[in-house]
Amino acid sequence: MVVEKAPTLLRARLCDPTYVHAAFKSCPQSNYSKLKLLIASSIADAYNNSALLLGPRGSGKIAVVDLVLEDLKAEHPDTISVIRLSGLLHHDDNCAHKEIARQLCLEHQLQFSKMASSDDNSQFMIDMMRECGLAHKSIVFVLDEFDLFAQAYKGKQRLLYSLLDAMQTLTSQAVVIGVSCRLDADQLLEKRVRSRFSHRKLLFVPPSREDIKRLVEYILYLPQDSGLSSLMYRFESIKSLDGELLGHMNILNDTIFNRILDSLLDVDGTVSNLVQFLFRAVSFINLESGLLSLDNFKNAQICNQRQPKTDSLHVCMNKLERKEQDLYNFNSVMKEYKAIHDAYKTSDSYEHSVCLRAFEHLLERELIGFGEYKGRNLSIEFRPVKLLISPRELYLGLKSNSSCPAILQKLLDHESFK
Amino acid sequence: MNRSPASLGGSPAAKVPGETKTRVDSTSSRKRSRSDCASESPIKDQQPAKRRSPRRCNGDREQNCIGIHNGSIAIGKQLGSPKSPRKRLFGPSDQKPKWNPRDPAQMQAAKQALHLATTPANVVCREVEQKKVIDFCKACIQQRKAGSLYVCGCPGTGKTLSIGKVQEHLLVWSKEEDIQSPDILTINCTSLTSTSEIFSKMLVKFRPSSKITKKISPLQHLQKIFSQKGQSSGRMMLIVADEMDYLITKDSSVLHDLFMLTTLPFSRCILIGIANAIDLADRFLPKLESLNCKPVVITFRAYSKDQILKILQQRLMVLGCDDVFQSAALEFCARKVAAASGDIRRALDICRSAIEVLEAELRDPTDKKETEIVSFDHMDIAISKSCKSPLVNIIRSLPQHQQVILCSLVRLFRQHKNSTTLGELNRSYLDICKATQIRPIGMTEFTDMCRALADQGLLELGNSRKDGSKKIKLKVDVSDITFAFKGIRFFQNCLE
Repeated sequence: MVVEKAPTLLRARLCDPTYVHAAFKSCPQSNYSKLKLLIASSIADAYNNSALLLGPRGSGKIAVVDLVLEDLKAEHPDTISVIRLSGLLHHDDNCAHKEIARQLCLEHQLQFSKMASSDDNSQFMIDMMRECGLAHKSIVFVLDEFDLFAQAYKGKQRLLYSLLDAMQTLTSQAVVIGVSCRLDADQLLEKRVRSRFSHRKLLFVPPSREDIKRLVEYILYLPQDSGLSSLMYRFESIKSLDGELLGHMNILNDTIFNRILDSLLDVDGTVSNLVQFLFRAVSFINLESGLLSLDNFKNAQICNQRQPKTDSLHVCMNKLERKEQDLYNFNSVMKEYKAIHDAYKTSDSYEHSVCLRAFEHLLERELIGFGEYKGRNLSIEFRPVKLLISPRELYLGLKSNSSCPAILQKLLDHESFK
Repeated sequence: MNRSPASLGGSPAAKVPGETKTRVDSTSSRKRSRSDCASESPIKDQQPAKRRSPRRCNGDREQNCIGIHNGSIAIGKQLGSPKSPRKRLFGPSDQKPKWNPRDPAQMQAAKQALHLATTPANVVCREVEQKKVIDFCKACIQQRKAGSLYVCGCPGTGKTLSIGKVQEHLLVWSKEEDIQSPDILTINCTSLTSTSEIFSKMLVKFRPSSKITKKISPLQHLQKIFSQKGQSSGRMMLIVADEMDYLITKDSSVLHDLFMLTTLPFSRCILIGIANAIDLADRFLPKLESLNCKPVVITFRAYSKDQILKILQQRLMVLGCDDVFQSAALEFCARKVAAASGDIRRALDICRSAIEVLEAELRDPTDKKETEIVSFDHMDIAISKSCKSPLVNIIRSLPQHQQVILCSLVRLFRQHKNSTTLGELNRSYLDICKATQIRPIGMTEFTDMCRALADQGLLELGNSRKDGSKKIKLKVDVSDITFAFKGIRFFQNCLE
């Protein structure tokens, strides 16, 4: 069915970071354009260059680098070789030199010998850089987790020094791109390494609200003529009381949608967070009609916040109340929780921190509340709490939740009939 | 060595063997006018070798069509396709042509002239230091005595470059004076896998025929050679150890032994060590002082504003055109860099950055300005890009809750504390949320956000088993945070 293709297509788009970041390709002020200009001019004019990409995790730094390199490889075939190193894997110099040699061998179809010493490997790297320089090929070094290279082995930044020093000669043509989430990554460099590193920095800040809207539109847009013409992805139909179609409403301009977006982006504004949220929303898509509606987004938001453990906590609290303890706090609820699990040997016994989080969600939803004002300065775990819903409501709620473990229902029934 | 062999100012013009075949015919015309500034620009020398690339889509080869000497005859290089429309022919005129930034060839030539990798033929502003080193080496060679020298200075002050020029000069000089030229060994100590490898390298270079046995180490072998008369072949050895502080071990034995080699009775080596620390000799080689053979220390001081200006102008002079940069812009750059670190690499990088700013401006079709040179404004933008820390921008673009966390930290630290725990921070955060009526987030998400802030380098999160008792330290200045939030009323209220 054609309709089923839509969610698959959308999901495929959301899972591909280069697609997501290609939204900003055309904008000249975007990081993509700046990086592309930097690398392209270094290649065309044949000189060495270096740059640092900084930004919080999930802001798409490696995705943009990949996108730029892909495009440049298409434009200038056979003139770029890419060497990727990661600070988590290769911060040891011997390891790094070996990896560089291996990747160079792979790119140029040479034999790589595992027995080569570190000296040989570093000499090989310098020779290859010279050869590539004479042949007018550029080598692009992408150093992920750059700050870990700077904090390497005894603080001596040999790899960085040897790379940057080799770039000081005219015979080599290399571009070094460092990617890091630490803003002060270049302050971690030794004086002499910092002196050789050019001070070009590209900052990856969370996109503004308009950019976010454009991004959402870009990702979720299925044009009319793409063969899925029966799908109108983002319009929610407004029906009159008679069921007549009154018109379509653009979700993106809806205030509730904006509020959902705001609450999401106030916590974590990176692009990857947005993409995860959109993925969840797409998972709720109405498979019959292929339309994304506002409810999908609301569900996605709830999904972010859902805690399945809240039910068991509720039951524990109910039990305690039954025992006529007027004052109980989180710790006593936990004890009761553990007692139940020990007694009935259920499979989902969760840790303290998880339960604490579930507890907080219950507080947020105002299903439980703090008892008195006396314990205000204590942390959450010690403040007295009480249930704000009646046992009858709890019972109904548990019944309607199909995934509720049977044991909870049994306990509740047991209690209510005591 | 990849530096073009050019003699230093003052010595007679030696006929330099042509680098490439195409250059031989034009070299003779260039040799006529010699001055103390760059004679043969190695930029032009090396550019032909590089510009053979078929990549250039405009089909131009050997681009540098601007060649001038001292304002006299202008000779355009005609190497390359004559069909190219961009070739300029200069008639004999006394006026230097104007630099046209819209010509990609000239733009590239300008950028190349300012690139770190292009070494000038003459190292200006270091004549005094070079003279000292040369005199020392000449004295050692003539008296056939060993000696040691220590060159120190901040990064980017021209140490390695100067010593390279010294080596070339010594070779030329020894040929002229008919003295046996010294064997030269240049080692960059970062490439040594172990510190004592330097001795084996020395042994291999100077006595290639000796067998390396396991019985005696290379160091002992060398010591044996230098203690016995007649075993040395009579040639002096010049050893240049770059980045010498990599040889420092806990007991600094390697460094010590290296310098001691020059004190042995029949030693024939001249050792030049290069490093950044000024007091390396004092701190790590105290015993040498008692033996009265401390190395001569030559300090390469950081460049002053005038020196930087002179170097930049010398580099731009090879372009042969008028006014690539506004003079105010160059002075501004020199002043800023001299005040900061005196590092010439920074200055060159900033100048190149300024050219790129100009390029971007020219590329922008909406810009109507007719800018033909790099002005003060371009330089200003380039300097602020390189000097300004991205901190304030990043803080302003953080998501709201993370900004509130930073505010609550600032508030806690106002009470003269240095570190706090996650639990306390959470309480402070909840207070602020209540006061400003925004919904606070739960503890786990709070911990996640603190971790994200720590990843970015704004906070430091300690290790502790319980989440609530992790220690938190602020890694940026409180003043930076308050500055970032200036003008935003919401946070002003938070910070009250």
